[in-house]
Amino acid sequence: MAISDVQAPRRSGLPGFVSAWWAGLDRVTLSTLSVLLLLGLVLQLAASPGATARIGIAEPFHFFERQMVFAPLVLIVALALSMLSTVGVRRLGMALAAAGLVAMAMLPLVGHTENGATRWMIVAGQSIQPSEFLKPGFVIVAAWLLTRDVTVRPGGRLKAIGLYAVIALLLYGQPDIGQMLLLGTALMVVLFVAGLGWVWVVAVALALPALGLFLYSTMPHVARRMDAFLGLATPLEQVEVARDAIQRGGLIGVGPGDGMLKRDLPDAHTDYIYAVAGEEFGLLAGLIIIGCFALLAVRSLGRIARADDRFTVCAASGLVALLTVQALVNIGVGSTLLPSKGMTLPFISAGGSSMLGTAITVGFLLALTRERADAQLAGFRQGH
Amino acid sequence: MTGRVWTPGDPDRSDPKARRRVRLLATGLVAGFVLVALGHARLAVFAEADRPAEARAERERTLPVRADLVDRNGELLARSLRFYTLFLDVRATRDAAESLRRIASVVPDVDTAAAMRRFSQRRLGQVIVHADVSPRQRAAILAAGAEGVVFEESTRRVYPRGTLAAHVIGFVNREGRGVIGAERAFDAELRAAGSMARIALSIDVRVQYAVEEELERAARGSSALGGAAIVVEAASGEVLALASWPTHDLNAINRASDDQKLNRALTQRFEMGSTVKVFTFAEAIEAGRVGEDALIEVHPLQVAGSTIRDFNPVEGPLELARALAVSSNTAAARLALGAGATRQRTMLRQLGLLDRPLRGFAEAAAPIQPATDRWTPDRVATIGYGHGVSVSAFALAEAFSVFANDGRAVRPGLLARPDGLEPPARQVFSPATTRTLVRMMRETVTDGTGIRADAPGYEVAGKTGTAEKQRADGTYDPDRQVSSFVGLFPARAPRFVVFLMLDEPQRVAANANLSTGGAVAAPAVGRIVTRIAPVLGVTPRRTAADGPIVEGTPG
Repeated sequence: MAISDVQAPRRSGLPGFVSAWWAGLDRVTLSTLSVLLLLGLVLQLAASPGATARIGIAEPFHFFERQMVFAPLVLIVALALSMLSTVGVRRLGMALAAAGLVAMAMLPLVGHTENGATRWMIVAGQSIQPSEFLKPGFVIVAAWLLTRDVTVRPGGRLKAIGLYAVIALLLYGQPDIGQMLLLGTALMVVLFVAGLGWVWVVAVALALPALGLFLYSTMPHVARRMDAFLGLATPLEQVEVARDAIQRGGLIGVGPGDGMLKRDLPDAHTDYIYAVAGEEFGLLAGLIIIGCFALLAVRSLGRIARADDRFTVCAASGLVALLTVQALVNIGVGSTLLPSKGMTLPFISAGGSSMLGTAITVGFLLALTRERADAQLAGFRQGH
Repeated sequence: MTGRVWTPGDPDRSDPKARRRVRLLATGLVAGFVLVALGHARLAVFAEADRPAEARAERERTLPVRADLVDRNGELLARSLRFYTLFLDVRATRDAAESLRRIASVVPDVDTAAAMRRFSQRRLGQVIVHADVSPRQRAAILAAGAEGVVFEESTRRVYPRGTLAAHVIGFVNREGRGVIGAERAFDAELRAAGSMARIALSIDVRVQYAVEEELERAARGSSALGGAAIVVEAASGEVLALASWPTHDLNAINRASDDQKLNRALTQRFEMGSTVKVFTFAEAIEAGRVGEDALIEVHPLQVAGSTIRDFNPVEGPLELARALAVSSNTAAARLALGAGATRQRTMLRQLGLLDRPLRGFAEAAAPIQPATDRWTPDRVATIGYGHGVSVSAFALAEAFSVFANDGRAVRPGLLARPDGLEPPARQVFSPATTRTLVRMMRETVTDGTGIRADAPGYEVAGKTGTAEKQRADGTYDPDRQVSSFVGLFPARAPRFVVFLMLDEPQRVAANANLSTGGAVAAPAVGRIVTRIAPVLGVTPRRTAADGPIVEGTPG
């Protein structure tokens, strides 16, 4: 809300700004976002009754109703943020990162534990997951640290990596290995685009198995999921059910409302929403979802590649990575190509923090990929 | 802002290398999306190629899911139920107490403390939490979101009626294969039909219940070692009830003793004694060697050096009906000798008494009989009154159904027969002969050894049997007997055969210190008839309760 307070007077003060904003906006990505949000509504309608029954929520369409609130909210937040100037993105991103980091650091003291993980805090009756808001903020800060100077200085890199190390430690402690790895991937993308030497890229690629081994040996549930995935242990129930759901759906699905296995899926409304889509609407729905995210990636990165500002390029690439890698992991898990890992599908999975976090991410992205009529305007708007 | 001023869109900062890398990133992401799309397509479209799914399907295919067993009216006798063993995977469970709490909210009888103890002792693998979780509970546990749960699916055979018809139904082993009874005899059919179908036995649970209750009452009342009872509908060859006592609960088969599991109607064979005389008399009349009104001598008889006597000697000669009514051994021996070995053997074979009954039931024992070349006159004489050939209770009831079927012998079975489908039958005696015998057996009940079998209004006709059991040395023990009664009803138009047999009944005061078939088995048959006739649609005839038999069906 603070965002619109800042922006609103400027918009009203500059009548031409709205048309300029609209003209410069990446409307393809905006349309893609809308399609995904609509798909999310349809899929929540399908997943909600089973998911509420399993959690013990009396109202069967609870998650659908929440999504009915959050989907328009995502659109509004994204559109509002898309009006930001580049420096506005940077400032807000840094503020988010700072607030998120503080909130996460407080979690061990005031956090709410669920299923053995302390990821949430209850504020005014709402469960909030700070890491969801920290993610876009961190990407912005990392991009800023790496591009402050004409040449990438090791100091910027080390600071970015150091900041990541702190966040990663907090995430590891929650534990939230998925977010930790996702954020690490986004950082790698920012580093890569910022011009990290290939030697380092290869070194990180080589280090990944070591990281995997470390997680395997320190995190029992990670080990269990890996064992199941590799066929070393009994397949996990939810993986089996998801696999059956995808198979049952076939090409065009069993039809809306006719999904059976969605009732057996834990987290059908979040982590396994893709399997719900696969059962009821088949490969067709899968291809639409995948196509939307692929389009979002290709379109945004295409515009980013044309941008002439290194911060924009790095930050926007990192934001695209956040959205698409998370989608890739969720779809990969939902279609049982990847080991079970709880990660939401952006714009589609239920969950307020996740929805708003992705709204901020895509809002920043839209702001950074906006074509400006002239650089002077941007410069004028920030240069005082 | 102070210090380093950063300007967006500064052309100096454009970087072609960054652009290349952004395009590389785009290529990588698109490759990722293509991969997951292909992965989804592989599962959704080419599901067969997927090995884990196949293994899962294979596991479900090999699960022994059997068809239901029902009685002739569709009453459930046996059903296979799916159940699950619930484990907690140690490494997949972050918070075991929380998982167990959620499990306990569904299955309250879970021993949380024990499971927690097992859990804390392990660092790997799975610990058992509950050995019996229903599919509904499984769904609820999954719904409750218990983390780390692993379910192992199995099926179990459930017998909702417990002890009822236990020996007919039989049971299955751990692999779900039939071990004995109908479960074994129809194992292939039950497995092939699957859980969607059912196989109907000829048993009627209402008849079965009455028969089991009366059998137990008779057996306990006479302190017998055991007993067996059978009800057959003669025309269709359907066994309506088959009981063996003592019995057992099919749902606790591991606690049943061998004695309880023994099917005394099929597996045990006895020299049945006097009940066999009916066949001897019928053969003599059928062959025309004696008429119904003929008189027959009943004084002791010398055959091959041994003497045959009557149990209760009376003055002769006697009419045939009287000789049967007083169960004269000497009369039966004389008639058997008149027939000779060949005719006697032919007749017994045609009645099924020399073959193994009830095809498919492994526990149905073959009769014990002399070899063909040892069918000597003394054997012919003793076989004529029920000694020398040992048969099962089932075989005797089967043979006796010839009198309730106008002389046609059927081979009774335990499967319900579709309406209107006549079983294969062989004419062994003429309808006139069997009607004559029914009249004579009616006299046995109204005025003979079987008088206590009468069920007022239902016109029981029948024959008592009291056979001494052989000692190990081959001599007969007068204190160890097999006492039986074979009856049919209603005598005016017989439809049903009831046979009841007790192994070593004791002489108790309640039975007037007698252990004969007439004293211990006949009353039980009478009570069975009284109880089952209304169920079977037989209307009582009040006026003719003790009167003479009326020919044919009443108009």
